Amino acid sequence: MKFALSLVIFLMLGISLHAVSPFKITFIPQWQPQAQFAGYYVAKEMGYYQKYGLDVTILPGGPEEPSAEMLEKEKVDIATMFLASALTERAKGLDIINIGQVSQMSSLIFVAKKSSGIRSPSDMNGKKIGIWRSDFREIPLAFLDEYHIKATIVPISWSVDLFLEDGIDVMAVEWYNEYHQILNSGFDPNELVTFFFYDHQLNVPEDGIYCLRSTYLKNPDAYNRFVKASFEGWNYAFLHPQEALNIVLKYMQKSHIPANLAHQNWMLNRMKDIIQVDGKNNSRLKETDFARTQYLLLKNGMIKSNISYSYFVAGYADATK
Amino acid sequence: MQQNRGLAYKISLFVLLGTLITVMLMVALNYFHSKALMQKSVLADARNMTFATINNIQTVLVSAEKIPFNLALLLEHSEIPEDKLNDYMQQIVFYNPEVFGCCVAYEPNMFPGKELYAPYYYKKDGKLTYVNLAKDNYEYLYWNWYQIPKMLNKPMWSEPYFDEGGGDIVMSTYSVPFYTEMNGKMVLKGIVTVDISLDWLQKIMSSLYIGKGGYAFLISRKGTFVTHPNVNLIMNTSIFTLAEERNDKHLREIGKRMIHGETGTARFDSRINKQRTWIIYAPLPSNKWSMGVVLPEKILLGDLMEMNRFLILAGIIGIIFLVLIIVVLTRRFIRPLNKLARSVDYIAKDNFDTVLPVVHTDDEIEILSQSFYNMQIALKSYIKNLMETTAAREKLDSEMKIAHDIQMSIVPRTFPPFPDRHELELYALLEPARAVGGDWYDYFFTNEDHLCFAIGDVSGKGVPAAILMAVIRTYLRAKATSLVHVEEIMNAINVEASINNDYLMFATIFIGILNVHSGVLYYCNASHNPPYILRSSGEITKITEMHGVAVGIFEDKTYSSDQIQLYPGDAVVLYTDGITEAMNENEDMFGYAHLERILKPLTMNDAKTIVLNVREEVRNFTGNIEQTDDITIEVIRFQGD
Repeated sequence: MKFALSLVIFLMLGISLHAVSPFKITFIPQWQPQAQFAGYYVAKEMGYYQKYGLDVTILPGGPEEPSAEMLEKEKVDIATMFLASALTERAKGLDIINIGQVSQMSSLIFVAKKSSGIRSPSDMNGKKIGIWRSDFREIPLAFLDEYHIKATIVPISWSVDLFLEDGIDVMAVEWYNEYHQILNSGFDPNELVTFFFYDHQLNVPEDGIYCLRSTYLKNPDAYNRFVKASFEGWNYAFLHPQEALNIVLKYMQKSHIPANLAHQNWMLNRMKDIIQVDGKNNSRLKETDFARTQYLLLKNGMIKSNISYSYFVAGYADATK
Repeated sequence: MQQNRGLAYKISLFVLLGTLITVMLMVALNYFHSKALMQKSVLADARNMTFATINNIQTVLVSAEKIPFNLALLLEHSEIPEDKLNDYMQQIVFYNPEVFGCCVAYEPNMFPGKELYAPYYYKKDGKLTYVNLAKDNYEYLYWNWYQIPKMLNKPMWSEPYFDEGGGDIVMSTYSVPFYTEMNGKMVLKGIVTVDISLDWLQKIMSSLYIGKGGYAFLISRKGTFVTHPNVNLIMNTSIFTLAEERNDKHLREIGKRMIHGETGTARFDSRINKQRTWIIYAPLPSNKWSMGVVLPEKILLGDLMEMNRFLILAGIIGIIFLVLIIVVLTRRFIRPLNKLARSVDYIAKDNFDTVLPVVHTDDEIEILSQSFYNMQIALKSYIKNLMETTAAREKLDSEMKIAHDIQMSIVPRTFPPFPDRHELELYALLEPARAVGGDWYDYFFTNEDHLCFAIGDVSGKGVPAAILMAVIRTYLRAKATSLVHVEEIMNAINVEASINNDYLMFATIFIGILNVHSGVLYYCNASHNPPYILRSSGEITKITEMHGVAVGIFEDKTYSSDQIQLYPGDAVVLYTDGITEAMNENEDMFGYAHLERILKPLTMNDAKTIVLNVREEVRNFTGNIEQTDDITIEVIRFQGD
C-alpha cells in the first residue's frame, strides 16, 4: 500500500517535474497554527502540494497579519478568510475571489454565563458583548441587528479571559475554538448559555480560500490544484486524526504557541462537523450560502452594493463584473 | 517416644497458631489505626507546607504589587512630565531584579499632547530597552493586561505567559488602573504595569520536599499550569484539558474547586499510574491562582509500610523463639513421662517387680507416677491371690473330673447291654448338670428270667448326691440278688439310706423287676416321676401308683408294690425331673404333656431312638439356657420270647 502510494507520488512528481520546476505559492491562514487549518499542514507534510506540482510556503497567521492586508500587499498568494469578511473586503474594493469554500456552516456562537441571567437573545439588551475588534465581526453584529439588541460592544482581542473574568457578559466565540477554551477554563456546558448562529437564521459559512483575481488569473490551474491538494489534506486529517494532530502540534510549537492535545482534538472534530456537513467534502461555496451572507451584510449596511456570485467564485473568475 | 514427640508437636502447633493469629491481628490493627493517624498527620504537614509556601509566594507578589501601585498613586495625584515619568520607569526596572518590564499605558488622549501613549521599559539581553507600545500597529488597548483591569476597574494579575523574548521564562503582569477626575467623575486615565518573571516560583515549588512521587504545582485562574514538574504542561495545558485527555471527571471537579478559590483536600485515583493519590489545594490571595500538592498514598503510608514490615519481622522472630522454647520445655516436661511409660510397658509384660523411675517433678507427672506405683502394688497382690485361687480350683476341678468318671463308670453304659438276650431291648442316658450328679439308673439280671431296672434322683446335686447315689446303687445290686420282691428291696434300701442320715438327704426311686418271658412287671415307686408304658398298640399309659415317700426320710417306713402285664413290643420309659422340669428362657417348664406328645409318635421306635429324640426335644426346648438339673432317661422294651 505504502509502496503503491510512493509509486503514485513518484509518478506525479515525474509529471510535475517534466512540467518544469514546482509552482511557488505562499499561503497564510487567517489565524495562528491550530487544527482549524489541519488540512493545509497535512497536505504540506504529506507531500500533496508537491504531488500537484506546487511548492507551498505556509506563513503563520494571526492578529498582526490580517489576511486581507496580506493579500492586498501581495505578501501572500493565497489566504483563508471568513466569507463575510471576504465579502466586506470585496465591497471595499479588494478584488479577491473565492477559489474554495472549506466551512459549509456557521460555527459562531454567542455564549453567556448562566449566572448572567441571559436566557434569550433579547436578554442581551444593555449587556456588555465582546466581539473581535478586527476581523470576523460582521456576522455577530448582524445577529445583534437581527434581534434589535442595544448593547455595549466591547472590542476584544483573541483571548477569552475578559469573559472569564466577568469583564463582559456575552462573547462571540467559535464552536471549534473559544467555546472549548471556556469549557477548559472550568466552565461546564450546563453553566453556560449558547446561541448557535446556525439556529438563528444566520448560518453563514466561514473559512474559505481566497486570492487576488489578478494572482489567480496568472495560473488558474495551479491555484485550483492548491485547493484540490488542500482538500486531500483535510480528508487524510479526518481519517488519521492522531497523525494530523501531531502535525498541527509541530507547527504550533514552531510558532511558540501554547498547545494542548485535548483542545486541538476538539477543534479537529468540530472542523469535520463544519466541513463535512453532509458527510463528504465539498470545496464549493454554495450559491444559497453566498446569497444569504450578502443579504445579511447588505441589510446591516456592512456592504453597500451587490456582488455577483459568478464574479466572486473562482469557477467564474474570468467573468467580468 | 513417637507419642511424646506428638504431644510436643501438638502443643507447639497450637501455641504457634494462636500466636500467629494474635500477631496478625495486632499487625492489622496497628496498620489500620496507624494508617488513619499517619494519613492525618502527613496531610496536616502537607497542608501546613502548602500554606507556608503560599505565604512565601504571597510576600513576593505583594511586594511586587507595591511598585506599580505607588506609581499609579503618584500618577493620579500629580501631573508628571514625560521625562520624569520615563526616569521613574527606568529606575523601577533597573533596581528591582524581579521586575522584567514596566509600562504606563494611557487611555486615548489622556497624556497631554499625545493621542496614544504607552512607554514600556524592559530588560533585553540584560540591557534596559525602551519601546512605545502605541507605535506601529500595537493596539495595546485590547490586550488582556490593559483591557481586563480597565473593564473591571481593579488591579489585576494577568494570566501567565511566556516572555516576549522567546525564552522559557514564565511571566505575569500586574496591572493597576489609575484615574483622574473629570467633570466630578472619576475617569480611567491609564494602566500602570510591571512584568514579573516567575522564575522564582518554579524554584520555590520544585524545592519543596514532598516525597517520592509527590509534587506541587500552581494553576492560574483559568486552570493553566504555571508550574509543574512536567515542564511540557506549563502554559500549554490546563488542569481541565488534562482531565479531558484522561477522561477524568473527578480531576475536572477538583480543578473547578481550585479555580473558585476553595481550600481543600481530596482523594482521587490517578488515571496514569492507577494509584490512589491525595491532593491538597489552596488559593494564592493576590492573584487567585491555586496551589496544589499531590501526594500518592504510598508516601502517606511509606513509613507505615516500613513499620509494618518491621512488626511482621519482629513477630516472626518472636514466634520462632517461642516455638524453640516450647519444644525444649515440653520435651523436658515429657521426659519423666517417657521413662514412666517405658516402665509401665515393662510391667504390662508381666514384669511386676519392675522398679518405677523416681519422679520429683512436683506436678501432675509426679502424681501420675505415684498412682502407677500404687497400682503396681495392688496389681501384684491381686495377681498373687488369683494364682492361689486358681491353683485350688484347678485341684478341685481335677478331683471332680475323677468323681465324674467314677460316677459314669458305675452306671452301665454298654449298649446293647445284653446282646444275647433277644427278649428285651434297652437304652439309657445320664447327663449330670455338674461334673457329678444325683441322678442314677441301673439294670441287671437278677437271675436267668428276671431283669431288675431302676431310676433314682437323690436330693441336691454335686458330690454329696453322687455319694448317696453310689450307696443306693450298691444296696440295690446287693439286695436285688438276695431278695425276690421288689418292695423288700426298696425297704432295705430305705433303711440303709435313713441310718445316720445327718444331712437329711433323700432319694426318689423307681425299681422294676421284669419277667422277661411272661412280661409281668413288678414295680415299686418311692415318689419318683411316674414312668410311661408305651404299648405296641400305640397307647401311652402312665404308671401313677406311688408306694411311699422318698427313701432316706423315715427309717421304719415300709413300701408296697404293684404289678403290670407287658406284651411284646411294649416299652417302659423312665425319666427324672431333669426332663419335665427343664426350663426355657421364658421360664416355662417342659412338662408332662409335652413329654407325652413326643413319646406318642415314637411308640414303635427302638429304645435308643426314643431316648435320643426325647433328649433332643428337651435341648431344643431349653435352647441356650444352661442345664440346671441332671437329665436321665431309660427305656426298656419288652420283646418276649
